[in-house]
Amino acid sequence: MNEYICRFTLISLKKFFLLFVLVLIVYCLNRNWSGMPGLGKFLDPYHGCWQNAKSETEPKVIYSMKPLLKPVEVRFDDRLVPHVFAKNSHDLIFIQGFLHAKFRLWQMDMTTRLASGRLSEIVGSKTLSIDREMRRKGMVYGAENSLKTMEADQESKQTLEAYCDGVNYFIQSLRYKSYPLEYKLMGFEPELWTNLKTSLMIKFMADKLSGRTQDFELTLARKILGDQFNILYPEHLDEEYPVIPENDNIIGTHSNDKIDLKNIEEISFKSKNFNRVKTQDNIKEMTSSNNIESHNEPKNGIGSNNWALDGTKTQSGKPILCNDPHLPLNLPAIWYENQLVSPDLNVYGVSLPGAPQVVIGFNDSIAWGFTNGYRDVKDFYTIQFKDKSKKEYFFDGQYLPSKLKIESIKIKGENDFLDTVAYTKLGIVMYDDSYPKKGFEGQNFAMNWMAHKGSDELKALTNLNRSKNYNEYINSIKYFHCPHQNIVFASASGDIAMWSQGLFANKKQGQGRFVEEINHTDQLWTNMLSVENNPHELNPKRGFVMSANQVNTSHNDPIYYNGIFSEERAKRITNMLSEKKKFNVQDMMIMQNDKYWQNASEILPLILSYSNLYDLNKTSNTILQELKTWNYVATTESRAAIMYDIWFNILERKIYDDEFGKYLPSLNYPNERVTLQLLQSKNESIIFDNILTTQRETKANIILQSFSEMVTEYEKVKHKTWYQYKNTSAEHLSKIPAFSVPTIKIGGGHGIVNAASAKDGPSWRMIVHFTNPIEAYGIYPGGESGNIASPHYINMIDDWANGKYYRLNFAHQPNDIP
Amino acid sequence: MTIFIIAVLNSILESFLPWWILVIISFVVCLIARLSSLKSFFAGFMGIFLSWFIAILLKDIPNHHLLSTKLSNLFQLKGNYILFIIINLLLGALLGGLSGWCGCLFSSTNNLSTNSKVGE
Repeated sequence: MNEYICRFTLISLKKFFLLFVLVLIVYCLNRNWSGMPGLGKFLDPYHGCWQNAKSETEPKVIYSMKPLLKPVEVRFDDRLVPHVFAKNSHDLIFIQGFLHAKFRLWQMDMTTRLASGRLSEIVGSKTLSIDREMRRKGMVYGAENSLKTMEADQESKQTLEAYCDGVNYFIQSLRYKSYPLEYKLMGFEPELWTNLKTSLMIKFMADKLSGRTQDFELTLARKILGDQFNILYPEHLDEEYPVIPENDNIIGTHSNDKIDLKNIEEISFKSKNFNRVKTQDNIKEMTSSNNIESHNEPKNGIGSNNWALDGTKTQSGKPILCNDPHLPLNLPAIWYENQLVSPDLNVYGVSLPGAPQVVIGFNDSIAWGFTNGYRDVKDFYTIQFKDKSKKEYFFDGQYLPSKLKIESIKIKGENDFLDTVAYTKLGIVMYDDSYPKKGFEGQNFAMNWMAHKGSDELKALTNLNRSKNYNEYINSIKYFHCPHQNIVFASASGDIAMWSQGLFANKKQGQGRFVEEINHTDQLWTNMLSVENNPHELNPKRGFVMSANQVNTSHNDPIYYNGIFSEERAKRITNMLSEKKKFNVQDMMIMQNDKYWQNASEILPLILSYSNLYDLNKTSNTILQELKTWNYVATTESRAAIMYDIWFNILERKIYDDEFGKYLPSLNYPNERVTLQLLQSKNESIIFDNILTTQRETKANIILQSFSEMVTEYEKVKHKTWYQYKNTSAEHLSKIPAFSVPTIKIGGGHGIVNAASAKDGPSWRMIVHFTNPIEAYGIYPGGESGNIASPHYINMIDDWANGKYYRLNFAHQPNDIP
Repeated sequence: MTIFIIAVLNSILESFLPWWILVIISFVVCLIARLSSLKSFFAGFMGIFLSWFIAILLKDIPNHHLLSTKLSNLFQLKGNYILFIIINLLLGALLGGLSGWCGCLFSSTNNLSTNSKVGE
């Protein structure tokens, strides 16, 4: 009996223990662990990851959800590009929002979280520094200001709301089972969209494109370089190819567009006015040493190309417009291709998931595209607080109260992080004792940034989407204030134009180039330049307009500005377009995929000219011969491109590192074309001397040393070809390698027209030819779907890398889509 | 037979209830079925295995293994989607088996009579 009870107890113990273990296992498999989803929940075939292996949509869909005024027909073509046919603009934008969410929700969510400094909320403390930076930059402040401006405009407000409703209609239809995979993996839930998020999306682009500034770098460089500063960071390069060339800035005759003559006169007058103020005094002032301007390009800077040819330059006699904006090559891709059709609109192009309208594209009458203008619209000032509380600061001869904003950053699994940021008349105090600027510790800096001002870029896009001619184009882009963009234009009626567009402060010579100490309101951006007077050209004599992030105007421009400009792609494109020939679409495709390394073609012959001095062995002789016979084309298989790249990098280190010393991490090397100028110069610059050695090094010494070092370094990577070496990759926004595409087989590179560098590159190549009907081509590195399990996730990457294009289905009715 | 009851019940119920319903199904079915421990474990294991296997195949084959290949990379299985599916199935099946075993232990009369017989 006792034995029986004992056994009974043992068995019940055993079963309860097993039950306990079972419940514990279920609990552990159901909850999220840091960086890991609950595996049971995630691997459940009925709700988890497997539910994302789904076919995304039927090719023909008629949407008739309740918020729509009329049913909307959407045709998806073989690349899953939606062609949306709506009866009114509300329904059109609602469906655009719905489709953005359907295919790219997680991307939209992450991007706006990043922009508003809310990543730690879902990721944990490892993103706290990113969140702090975004908060202290005033991203939300800028987005709120712009939202006010947008909502004050009836049409923009309606557009924002229709878009937001469309996104939310999709979000509300979701359950765990239908969440995009990344939500399941990261263990958070989608939240409802707001108009502020749309505004944040626009500010995110403003930050990407106008957020980089050299104020601190140049301030440091000036401090340590002394006399050499102006040589290494000159106000202008010897050779420049301005976006709006001086001699070509002529308003050509207008073709068939119906516009009133008064307006042409007005434009012509402004153009003349521009010439008139270029007096001799001005030129003298410009060339004086205190007027200094930067042309530095960050090593990994992002650039873009756009150009348009008028009928005199094309075989068809019709204009052609081309654009390839270079942006981070993330997955899901930054762009979403779509066509939007309503009774008064038919526009095709790429949109930004997270914002309504087409950003780069064309309609029946016009086409347009963007490159970054790179004019400096962000200035830093030192600011003196009365005490550590930051409650008062000294300005205009007195202590003024600052507005303290407490940023509360939520961190997953930890207590909130509180960050106090002071808002002053000088701007937002981004850097202070709690968030010091590297190299400038102990000082406070306020930031004055154009992106903080309220502006309505959405209105610019809404108007551009339906513009019919040049006049409507300029009436649209006048609302485009930040970021500064070179907006190329071509019309079916034969016009081409370029506007270097944005809102700019009327700066004094040198203003805003360095970190400034200012005391009075009148030293701030006191007055703005009229956006209607921005540099522009219409139908220039040379028959084309082009921009590639180069300097905006010639050095004779009386208006002062600085920025981060680069000339090499502009030079290459200008050379190609100046050829005396008539171009066709195939030529444009070849040009966008051009792999000619402009800087290498000028620098390499100079450094090779010392080759008679080299001490050669078998290895170095082979390398030398390969470089000597290279045609400067950075093909996927090129080895010479690797050799040159290594050589130039070593050369830069040898020339600059000794002077830059401990400041190196905060300083970028001068523009590559400044180094080119130094190498070209007959004078022996003292910058070549290594100040750390006793003897005096010359240019020849440095080149010789760098050659032998290059040979050693090249030996380590000699098994690689150019594309493997530069390693152009499309990284998933989560940085998960399994969802990314590494080492894409593409040539080109940084500073080359086909600018496929490690992480950035041509994010959308578009060619629009105004034949009748319109012939348009496009491609982007990615796919329409953000779902990693979709066949349309990365379906365009290989063709993109190979320089192929898709003929764009510019439909007029649903049945035009096969 | 028990295997099929578990498989069918799970396929129906799990499609609208949380994933851990499989534990309860396997437990309850084995509680009622009064099988031996080993058989209960096997019934739970195979029942859930079948239910999950079919559900996964119905997703994976039309998807041409796009998802499973990427996830196998995510779980460091180097693109071996079959191995990923097997591991995924084992997770469900082992839980099903454990629940079945546990269910059989709670089926008290069964357990006691079997055990006491052994004891005699």
